[in-house]
Amino acid sequence: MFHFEPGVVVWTLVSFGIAFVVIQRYVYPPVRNIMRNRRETIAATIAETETRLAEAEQRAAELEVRMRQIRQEEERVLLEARERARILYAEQERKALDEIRELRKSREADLRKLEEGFYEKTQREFTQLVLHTCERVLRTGIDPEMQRRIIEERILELERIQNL
Amino acid sequence: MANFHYDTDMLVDGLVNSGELDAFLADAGRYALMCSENRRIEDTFASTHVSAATKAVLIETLVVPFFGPTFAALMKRFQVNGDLQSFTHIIERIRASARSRLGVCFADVASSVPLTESELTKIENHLAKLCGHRVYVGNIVDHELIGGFMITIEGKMIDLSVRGDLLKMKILLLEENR
Repeated sequence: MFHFEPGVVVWTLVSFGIAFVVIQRYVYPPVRNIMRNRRETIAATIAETETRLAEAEQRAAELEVRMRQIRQEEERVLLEARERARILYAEQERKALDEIRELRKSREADLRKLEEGFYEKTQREFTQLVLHTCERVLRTGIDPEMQRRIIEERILELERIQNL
Repeated sequence: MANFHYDTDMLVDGLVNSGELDAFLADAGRYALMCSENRRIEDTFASTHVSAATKAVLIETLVVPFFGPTFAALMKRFQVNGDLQSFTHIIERIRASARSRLGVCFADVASSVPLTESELTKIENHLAKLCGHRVYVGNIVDHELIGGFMITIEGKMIDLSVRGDLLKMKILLLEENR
């Protein structure tokens, strides 16, 4: 059963007051200091983190821009390289075609020359053969009577000449 | 050597005065004809391996009986002087003298067979008409001509031979085929 005892109340209050004073004087300040320091540290950390975050964001943005520039540069370089390669290919192709055309023209001219030479040689040889045959036939086939007749004909031919 | 041994102008004058020029030139022509028909005559006379005595005998047997006295005497003189190999050259000089002193022309007619007197006369007459001067015609044989004849007169050539015809035909064939 609850009994109100004034002595207990007083001593309770006294001990509580003593505890309160001791805590207030010796315990609370260091705790408060620790808490303050902790708060300051946290605030500093947060501030630093925010700064770093901002820096990181800025760097990320810069990197994004840089990446974009790099991609653009890459595309430009690739385009230029492709264009240069295309021009070089076209030029080489044109040169090769020109060379082939020249070579073909030269070979055709050589062939034509060879062909003409062959025909000319064949004709010359054929003519020589015909003439040689004629000569042989004439040499063996002309008798003295024919000789006299030829000379008579040639004298008539000479008489038709009007000037030297 | 031959240039100093013979005064061809004096020889021509002497031949004209004695009326032997025609006969002499005809003999020269006949001798050339004989040489052209038998190359060994010329070769023998030009050879240094044949003695002068042999050459003298050859002239006595080959020239003297068949040619006129003037021509034979000249040939003997050539033999004595060792000028037989210069016969053609000296005859050319005699012709040049006659050409300049008498205004005559000389024609060499190369034919496949020896020409007869009448044929030579016809040729001579026509050439005289063409030149406007008297023409002395000499005949030599060239079997390469096959038929007909070829005239060389005053540095010009008239080719009326069968070989010439063949050559013309050859040129025509080659030109046509070109």
